Amino acid sequence: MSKHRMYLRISGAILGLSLAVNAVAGDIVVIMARSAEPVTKEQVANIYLGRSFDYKPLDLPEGTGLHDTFYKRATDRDYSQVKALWARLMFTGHAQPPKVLADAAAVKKAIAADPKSVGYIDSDDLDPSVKVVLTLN
Amino acid sequence: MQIGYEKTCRVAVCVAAILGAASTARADIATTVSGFGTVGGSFTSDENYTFRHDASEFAGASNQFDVALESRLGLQAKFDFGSGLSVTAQEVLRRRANSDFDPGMEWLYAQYSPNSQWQVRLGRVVLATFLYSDSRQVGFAAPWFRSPVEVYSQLPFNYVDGGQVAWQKPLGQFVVALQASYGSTSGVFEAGPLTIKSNSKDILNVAASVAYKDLLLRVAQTSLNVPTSLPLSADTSVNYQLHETFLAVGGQYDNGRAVVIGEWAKTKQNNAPLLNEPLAASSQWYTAAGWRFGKFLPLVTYGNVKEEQSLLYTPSRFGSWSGTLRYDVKTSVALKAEISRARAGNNTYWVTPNTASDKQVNVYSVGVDFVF
Repeated sequence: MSKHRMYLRISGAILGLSLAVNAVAGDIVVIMARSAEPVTKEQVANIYLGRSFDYKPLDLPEGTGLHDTFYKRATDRDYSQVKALWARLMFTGHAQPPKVLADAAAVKKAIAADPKSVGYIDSDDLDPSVKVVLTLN
Repeated sequence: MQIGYEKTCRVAVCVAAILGAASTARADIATTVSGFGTVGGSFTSDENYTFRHDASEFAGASNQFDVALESRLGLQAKFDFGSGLSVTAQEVLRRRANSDFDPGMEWLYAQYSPNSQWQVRLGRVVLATFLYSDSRQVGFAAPWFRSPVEVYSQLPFNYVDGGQVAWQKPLGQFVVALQASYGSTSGVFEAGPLTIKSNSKDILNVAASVAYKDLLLRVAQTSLNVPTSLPLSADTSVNYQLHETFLAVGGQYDNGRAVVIGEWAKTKQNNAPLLNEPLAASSQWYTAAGWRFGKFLPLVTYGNVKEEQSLLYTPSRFGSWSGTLRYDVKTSVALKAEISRARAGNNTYWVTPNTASDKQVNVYSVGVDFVF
């Protein structure tokens, strides 16, 4: 590995660390690939309510505290309301609901591989492979 | 309600075909199978008045609790081949004409979506005449138990065989969407005393919508031609090309607590030759408002229909009130109860309206909507 690339890696790690520090334990962080720009809460709501399809939302399994809290904070809605919105989008052929992944590790892996993907995880699970684009607390 | 052996087989074959195709799909074809349904029923407060959703149903609910009118089951499969290519099929069991739980292919289309903005579809596609037309069967997605009949009974077609192009793009805080559909469809309808076998050709639907945060506004125009034969007497009839247009303007606002929905639609037809009047012409609207209390959503709807002078109807105006309570039992199950109150002469409610009577008749409904 060249010195140049080594430097990039290290600076990337420091940047990731500094972003992670901004979020305290118990915060939910919205994450994207390292190249992404920060987003607003409205943008995240639009993505997870199926109003705009520019990004691919990733989801965590239903029934976990993190899942329900994320929807409450990001969209100001109970998840059953969000489910009704996606039912309409799915059964009108407009869009498929967010892809459900098993855990934070799977979300980070998918995001690192696709710059169009958006996900959310507990801030405790952050690492430099992804970038925090919004903190929900 | 009775499902004959033959129909059961048809259902079984369709379901097996969808599930079979799904389970044997190759690993590189992403397959999603999902479904929706309603189990419920309705009855009216008067045995002389029978409620139905629209003219594609020949039987309705009177003062006997009718399960087959409201209950339905939909199954949808999407096969994603990658590179923006997919095939979607949707099968729905519901009342059609005289038969209950009648299976029918609501959609079957191939879609090419080169990016997140464009969708091009060929095959049997949804006809989105009004704001909620495209999801009218999906009770779970709606705040009410049934979409307001003043507007939604006007065009009893759910799909066309043809093509569809849809485009949507976020522009700053706004999301703008355009959709055009073209095709033909056939069906059998009861309109007043007539049973009309309709082969509608040249159905064109153009819709534009703009969304801003929790607000969505939509305008759509639908036009169609139907070769029509009107009986004048036992052995003479007037044959002509019926041209009908629907203009619909609607909006919805839902911020998670408050829900407000409103829609206005105008139905126009050309005059039948010799008779110099259209078969039917009307304008109609509704407005609905609700407020969420936790998992409960009470909703009040007012609907209004104004009939113009036509061959089927004399000028009249009717209003109706509905009250709905939705309770989200689980994240994919909702329980609903609804009471509607309409005049005896309101032809959007009753199979056989009675314009001579001033009576108010109620429709009581209860049901469970679910998705899976």
